[in-house]
Amino acid sequence: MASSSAYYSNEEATIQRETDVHVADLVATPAEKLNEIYEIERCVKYIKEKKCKKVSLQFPDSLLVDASNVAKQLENNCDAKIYILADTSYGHCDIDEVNAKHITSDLLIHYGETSLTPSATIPTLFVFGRHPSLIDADKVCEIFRETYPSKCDTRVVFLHHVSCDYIADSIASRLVPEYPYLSVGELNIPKDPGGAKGLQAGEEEENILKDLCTKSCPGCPCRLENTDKNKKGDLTRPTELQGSKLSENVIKILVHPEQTKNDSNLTRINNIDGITNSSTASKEGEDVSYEASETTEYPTNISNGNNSASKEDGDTHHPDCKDYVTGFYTIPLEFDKKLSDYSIFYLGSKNAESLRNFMLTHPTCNVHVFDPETGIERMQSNTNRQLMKRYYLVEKVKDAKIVGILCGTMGVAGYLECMNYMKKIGKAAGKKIYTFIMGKLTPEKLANFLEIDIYVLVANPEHNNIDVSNFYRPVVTPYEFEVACNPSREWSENYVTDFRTILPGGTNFVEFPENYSKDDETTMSLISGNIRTNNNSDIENCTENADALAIRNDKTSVAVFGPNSSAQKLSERSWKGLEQKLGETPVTKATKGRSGLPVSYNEMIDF
Amino acid sequence: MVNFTDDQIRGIMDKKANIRIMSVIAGEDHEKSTLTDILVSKAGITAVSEAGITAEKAGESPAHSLYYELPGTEKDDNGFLINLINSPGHVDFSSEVTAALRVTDGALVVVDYNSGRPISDQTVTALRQAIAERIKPIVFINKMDSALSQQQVGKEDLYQIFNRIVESTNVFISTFGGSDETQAFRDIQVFPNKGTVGFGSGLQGWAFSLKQFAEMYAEKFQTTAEKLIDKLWGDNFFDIGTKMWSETKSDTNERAFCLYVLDPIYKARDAIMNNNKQEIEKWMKSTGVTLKGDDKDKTGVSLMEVFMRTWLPAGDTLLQMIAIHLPSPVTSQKYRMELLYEGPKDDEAATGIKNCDPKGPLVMYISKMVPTSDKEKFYAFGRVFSGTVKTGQEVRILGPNYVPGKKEDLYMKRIERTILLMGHHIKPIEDVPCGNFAGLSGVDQYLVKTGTITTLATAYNMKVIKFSVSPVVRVAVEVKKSEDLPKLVEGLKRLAKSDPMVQFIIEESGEHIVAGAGELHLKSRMKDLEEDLANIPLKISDLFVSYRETVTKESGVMCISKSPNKHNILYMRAKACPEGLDEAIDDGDVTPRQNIKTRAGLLADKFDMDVNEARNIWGFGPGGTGPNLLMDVTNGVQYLNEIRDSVVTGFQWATEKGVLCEENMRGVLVKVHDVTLHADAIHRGGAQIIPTTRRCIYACQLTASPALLEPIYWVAIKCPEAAVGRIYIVLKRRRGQLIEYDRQPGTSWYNIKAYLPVNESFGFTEDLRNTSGQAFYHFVFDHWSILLENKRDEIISITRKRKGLSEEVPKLDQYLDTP
Repeated sequence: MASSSAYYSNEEATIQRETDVHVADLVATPAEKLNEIYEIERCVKYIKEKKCKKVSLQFPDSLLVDASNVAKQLENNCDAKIYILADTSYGHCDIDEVNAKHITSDLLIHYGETSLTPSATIPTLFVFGRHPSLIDADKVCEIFRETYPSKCDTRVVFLHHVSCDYIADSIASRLVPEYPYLSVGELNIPKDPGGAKGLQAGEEEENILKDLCTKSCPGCPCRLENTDKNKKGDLTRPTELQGSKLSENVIKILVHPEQTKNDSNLTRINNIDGITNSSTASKEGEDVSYEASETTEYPTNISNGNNSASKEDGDTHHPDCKDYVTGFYTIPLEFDKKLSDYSIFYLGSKNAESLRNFMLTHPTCNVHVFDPETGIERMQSNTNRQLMKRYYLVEKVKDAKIVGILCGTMGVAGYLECMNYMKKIGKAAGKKIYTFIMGKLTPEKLANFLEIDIYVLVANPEHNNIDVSNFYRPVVTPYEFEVACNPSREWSENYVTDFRTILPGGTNFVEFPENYSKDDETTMSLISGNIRTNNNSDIENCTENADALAIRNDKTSVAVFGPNSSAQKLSERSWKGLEQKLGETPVTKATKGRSGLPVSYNEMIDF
Repeated sequence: MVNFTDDQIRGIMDKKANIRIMSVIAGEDHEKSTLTDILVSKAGITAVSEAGITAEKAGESPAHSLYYELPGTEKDDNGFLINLINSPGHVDFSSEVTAALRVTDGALVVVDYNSGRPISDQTVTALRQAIAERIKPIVFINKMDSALSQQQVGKEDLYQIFNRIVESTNVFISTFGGSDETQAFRDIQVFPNKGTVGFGSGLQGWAFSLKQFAEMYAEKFQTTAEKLIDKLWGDNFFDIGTKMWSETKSDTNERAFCLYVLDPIYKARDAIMNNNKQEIEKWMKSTGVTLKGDDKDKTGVSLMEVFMRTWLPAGDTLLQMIAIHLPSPVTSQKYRMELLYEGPKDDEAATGIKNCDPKGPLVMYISKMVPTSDKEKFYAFGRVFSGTVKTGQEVRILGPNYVPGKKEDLYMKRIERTILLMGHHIKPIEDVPCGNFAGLSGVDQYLVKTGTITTLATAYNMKVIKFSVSPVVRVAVEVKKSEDLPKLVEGLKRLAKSDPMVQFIIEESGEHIVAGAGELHLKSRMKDLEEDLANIPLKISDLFVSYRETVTKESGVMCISKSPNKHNILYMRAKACPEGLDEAIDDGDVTPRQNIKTRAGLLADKFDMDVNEARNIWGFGPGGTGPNLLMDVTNGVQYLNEIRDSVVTGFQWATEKGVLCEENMRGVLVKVHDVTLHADAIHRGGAQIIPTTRRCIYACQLTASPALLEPIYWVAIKCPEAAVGRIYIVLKRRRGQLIEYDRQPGTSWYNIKAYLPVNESFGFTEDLRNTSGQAFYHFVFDHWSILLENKRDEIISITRKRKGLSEEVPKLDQYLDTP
């Protein structure tokens, strides 16, 4: 029985489709632990406080077994209607706000591993869950001491994976008194509407202040005093204070977008092309929250390695301390030191994407990883190799004439700006650009477009570096694309994983030169060894003046097409579409064909 | 040295009949540069700098310009402009020699009088290329000084040695030029009595040709030099007593060459070596040699040197030979045009080249990129074959991949500056007419290594040079600090540009691979790179060679692969290409651009393929031109033409990266036997077909006894008898394979020829030096050969590891589906 209609595919097939997760490995969490792991209480508190009516829950595939139990618990404890989002479109790190919006939910709770990127349109609460292996804080401390035996002169940064967040603080607080130069990296949790940490920041400012001073300023004299005698000195305010205040501001802004319009503190930054044309959802809300995060709080905008905290007047700062912000983490560093002066101790799975990104962006760091499953390990940095691989892709982009921009996210703030920016620089560099929107990337989907030379994936930084070895054409990140297209940007060893920082207004933004002649880019390709050029003047003339009258030339030909035009590509194909074969085939009566979706045809009709 | 002003230089450039363009072909020692120095110091043009203009220094000199006034001709056209191309001697650099040949008309072939073989293999290789390019040779028999001093060789013996050299040279010339039917390029054999063979010593700076001696004696014999010269070579004997010529040797007569050419030299030598003042005085007088300054006090060998150099100066002799016997561009372009030009032989450009017409359309061939002194840019150096190249001229730059009518590899640019590269100096010049060299600035970025510059819109390319060596030896270069990466890349780009034999590519693994002709070549280039071009600390890997993947049998089963949606099924088999077909494709005898029927006929005749099948070749791969074939042998499959492009694409992909270790495939013939397709077009698109084709070809490869091919050198070793045994051992240890060996007639030297895997050639030099200090050898890439099985697996795993792949070759079931 063929049960499919023309609009959706056979439900049986959908149900039987297998995911990457092995069902056998999944064990539901016992009810008594549910509250602890999924932080039910915190969520309930938050839902009640914000009087949310419809709440969407997003689980990664590996945690789906617990989804219904969590949903039940939440529903029992508050009046909100709870939905579980079924299908993640791009990756589990990504906030699936499109789905959440289908049911007009006013809050999304994201469980499990996350990229901590702020959502553009919907308040999001992150619940990290817990690493499946039990972490023994004592053991971690012990191993830490073994790894760094000399306590007084080792500079170490302590970082942790989100799944270890629940225990990281307690471990850090034990180690801080022992190691005067230990600096503890904080997760950059988007201070979304009343997320637990955000609330804290507002209410318990004083405590935090204390806390920060004892734990975040390595080598700070006050802390040395603290560790000596626990004596409180005359503390100067640490830098976080400004941050906390601002983030408080942001919280309000995000919750009540209409307020921000009057907020004179927020100046409009660059008006990026297309931002106001955003077709998704509440236009203003998106605008404003995006900008808010740009100006004040979103951490990656604070430049890599620069003393970002000294924006405000320097008097109130602790003189020896600065914040170093990198993708995931905010790391307090001594004023005159760089991150490369520190060793890194990382708690969490050694295969984590966040660790890989960290190592890619900081190739010179000496990293030790404590994996709860396998124990301590020194990570060999093969980053040089990785960077060379990336450089190969940059060269590929330079060679490419036709580029596909893949929209791999709908949720990450700034994706639209990024795509527009990619289009802009791509065109300026003489490439032909097509835009694609598709769900999870598969080699098959991309292979449908033979003529595309390379794809740029605008997506969450956490799964930018997808494995593309089976793809017919390579997929690159916006950063790589920009390195290849923007002649002003120079290749550096500091790899940028977050596309937002390369956009206009971002900290890594490099202006595209205005009077840039494409001829300068005619050079030897390192992939093919031939000369490549990006001079597509023919195409530009065609497209830009498509509505203008063309001057008839001597040969009275209708159009002239350049080497990259689609007409040229078509003419190179051996098959150009339906063949008429007039007179070559016998005349027959028309017969009834098949109907429905091709995947679910159950008989092959013999023509 | 000759001093000229700009106008004078420009003036002689117009006299195209008096222009000679030549290079020196010599073996692997310093004689080539010695001879070049002799010529340059004799006749090199120094541009006189006009006030305020100082000649800019060029990085290296691609050519020397010489000016020579031929004595005994009319004043107006006795001045010859001789352009001498520089090229290094070692075989690893022979690409430079090849590149130089294209732009020359003649060659001075230097042959050692006393070397083990009459002509070294390397010289033979260059000579073969020269004749294939229709370049006229003249021969100089060098190192005659050792016959006079070190070895006491009799006059008749010396004649026999000379005669053997001349004869064997002519054998080579007629073999290489045997098929050349061109009327104009027929008489290229060399004869001493025609003046095309010179004798002498480059080291001591003297040389003579029979012409000089004939002129000397003409008066005495009361005949003309032209008549006498014939008597001075070959079996012409003169009896002094009877004053009778004879063609047979008797007791009383003597060979004229010995009597009139060698005898005076021998006698003068004896006088000088015995320090017989009276005799010396007599010889000085009769030869008209007067010594000056310190030379007067010299005795023995050094006096002999000075005497000979003053009596028979090498520069004059050689320049005379060059001016008289090498063709001018006007002569040579007539018969060379059809070899040089790819287009129709009667179009405007062809006519312009043929007539060497300075008013014709501009056709210029760029043969080399010469770095500017700051090494930032390059001058495109080449020869103008037709028309006149001018500063500011709007030209079309045709790269090697240009196809007339298309826009690929075509650039239209203005020439920034026309310059002359003379020795180590460059000089701006307004324009350069055909038959001359010119350097252009402002076009280097549009050309990789070579190319054609023209003003004619319909002009075709000049033929691309084919090199006798292939870049099979590789190194991977890595920066020590990753921020230096762009500098490395820039340096590598410059390296690749300035050396025609260096290839530089980035592999998918991110490795920067530099490929060159041999160990020495690459090592010296890497030194250049690290110290000069990139100037950054580098990590340079050990040398390795590139391999190719192939199959040895036909696929044992019909390979079936299903598309991701399971609705399309491909049926294919692979087998090895007929023997020699891969080389025919490499050589351009079988190409994708050929007419399908001609090609099918060729394949059927030469390679015993089925004509009908041969007509259904879908593609060559990788890169659309590689030595693997995809053939359609299906029968009446519906929609087949729709998926053809996708299948070809998948084939390119698979042949570029074979299944064993992602190396290129070579000599694999893939046949598409059947195809089952989904009835709906959307479900048989590229997405379904491309990856499936690749999987299916991988399955074919795995089921057809896959193998690896390794590059093999042809080695020629020359050694004394005592070292032969030890050299065998070295060869055996290095998996060498002996082809032949023989004893050099009349010497104790042995010639050994062998095949040696390139991979085993690293360190061969040291090895040979340790075993036998006296051995000489040279390698040339010869062919690909299948690697033994035990070695193969090792190489596969090393290569996979280097590329960052899983160490195991993927299993067949990943690619093979059940129907």
